[in-house]
Amino acid sequence: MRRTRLRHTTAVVTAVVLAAIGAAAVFRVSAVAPAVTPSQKGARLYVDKGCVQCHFLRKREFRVGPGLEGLFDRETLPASGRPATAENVRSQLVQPYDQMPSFADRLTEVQRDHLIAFLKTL
Amino acid sequence: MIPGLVRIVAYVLLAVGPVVLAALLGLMPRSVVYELGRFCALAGFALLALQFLLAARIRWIERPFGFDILIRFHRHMAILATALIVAHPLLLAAGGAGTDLLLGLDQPWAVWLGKAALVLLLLNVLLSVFQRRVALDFEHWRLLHDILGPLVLVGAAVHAWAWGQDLRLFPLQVTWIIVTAVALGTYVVHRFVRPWWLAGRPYRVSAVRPEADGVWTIEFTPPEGLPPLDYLPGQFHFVTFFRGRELPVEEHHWTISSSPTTDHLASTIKAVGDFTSTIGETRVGDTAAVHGPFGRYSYVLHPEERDLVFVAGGIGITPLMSMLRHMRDTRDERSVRLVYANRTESSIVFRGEIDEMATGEHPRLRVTHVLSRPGDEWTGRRGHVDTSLLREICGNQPESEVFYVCGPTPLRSAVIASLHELGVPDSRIRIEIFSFLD
Repeated sequence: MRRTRLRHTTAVVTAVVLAAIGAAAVFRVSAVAPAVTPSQKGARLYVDKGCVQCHFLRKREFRVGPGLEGLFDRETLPASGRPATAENVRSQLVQPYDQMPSFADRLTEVQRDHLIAFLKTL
Repeated sequence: MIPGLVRIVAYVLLAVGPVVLAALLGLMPRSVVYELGRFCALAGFALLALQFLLAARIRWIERPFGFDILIRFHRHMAILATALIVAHPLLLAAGGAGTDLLLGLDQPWAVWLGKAALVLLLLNVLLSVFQRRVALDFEHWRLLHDILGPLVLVGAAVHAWAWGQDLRLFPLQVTWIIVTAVALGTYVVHRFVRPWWLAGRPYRVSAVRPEADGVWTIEFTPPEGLPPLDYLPGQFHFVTFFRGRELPVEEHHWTISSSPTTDHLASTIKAVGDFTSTIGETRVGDTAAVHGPFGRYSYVLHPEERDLVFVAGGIGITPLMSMLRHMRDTRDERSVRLVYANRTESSIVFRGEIDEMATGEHPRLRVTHVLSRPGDEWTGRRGHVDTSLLREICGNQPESEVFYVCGPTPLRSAVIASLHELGVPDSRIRIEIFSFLD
């Protein structure tokens, strides 16, 4: 009897945990409003293209690369040391300094604009 | 039923709590598959942390289920947590992170730490599932389990803190700190603080009595100032002997064979392993840390049941003996039929006391001894406990009896199969699964 209850409990707990995981994943994806503005599209690219894996958004400390908070409020870009302008960020994406991989083939020209628009909001 | 349900609901809420919190707080999603990977990690970590609470012998958690069932639930949840944590990197890779996450060598330290924790988790689970097959004795397995468990938890916690997207959210950071601290705190209390506290208040061995071939009863008296252990007949306790003389100091669990109606506490122990082979060397005056009682294998939890059948094999008689002694001392009028299987006449434990009890009225006891290797002079039953014997013992209505079965696994399995054959439902079969690793 106790073993039967144990089996049932295990099955129910497993089902609830898996259902919660599935529901949470669907909820999170579906709850996000469609990206409309350039910066919203850039925010989506920031996640989809994996920038998030190496750069903190809300602080300046290094993760793998430098944190990007207030990137355009700084005088210079953290890796290249060049002035913090849209053109230099675009250049960093295509021909990066330091260990950062090139996004020349992974982002279109328009996508780079969107990403820069997003970085300006940080 | 209700107390158990409350605990199960609380467990589920704690297990899925981080998932719900992260989903509600919102974070830029990548894809459904990627998010599944993230949430698998959150739930897997919560389950891992809860493992420490399940195994810590916390009475409030254990009471409605019994420790044997709770420790099996702990095993089931270990499998679930491991499956979720294995799925975590696979889903992240499939959901957008790419195979570099799995195979790339150029990874940040936090990713490597996560991989290391995953490998240790798999090692821990495999050693637990295949402990006997890899010939790992219980003490060494427990030592490894005690090292690997906290290592995995700390590795996973630091990995998530340094690398997890959701851990950038302040509420989840707070949750993570609380969950990790509670799990590790529970572990420290369970493995270090409580054993130290119990060792400072040891019971004293007041009698050592041989009962049968290789079987001894050890009686304990509580330390001065402490009341006797408040247990139910049929429960068990954990005992750590401090005997000196270079005898091993290990914690083992044994059924309490005495009845709570007496002023002493006793366990009857068979010399079957490395540690128990030294049990006969225990002397009066030795001390022992006692932690208990645990378990729900007791007839007093079912006062409405009047007709009982006890089926014991070898040393499996001990919880049933505790119950019979309790019935005798409380002048209980239940009807009990005891089927007691042993190999030889000299291996029958408590034979004199059982036979004497069968002549009394409390309980109304009938005894059938069964020997598998009897001598020529044995006039009783020969062979094993099988369906025909149980049918004969129980008459025409075996399905109306309640069966307490305790003994080695082959006997237990055979008796349960026979009872099913006789139409006895699981709800009327009570068993104690004494080994935590079976």
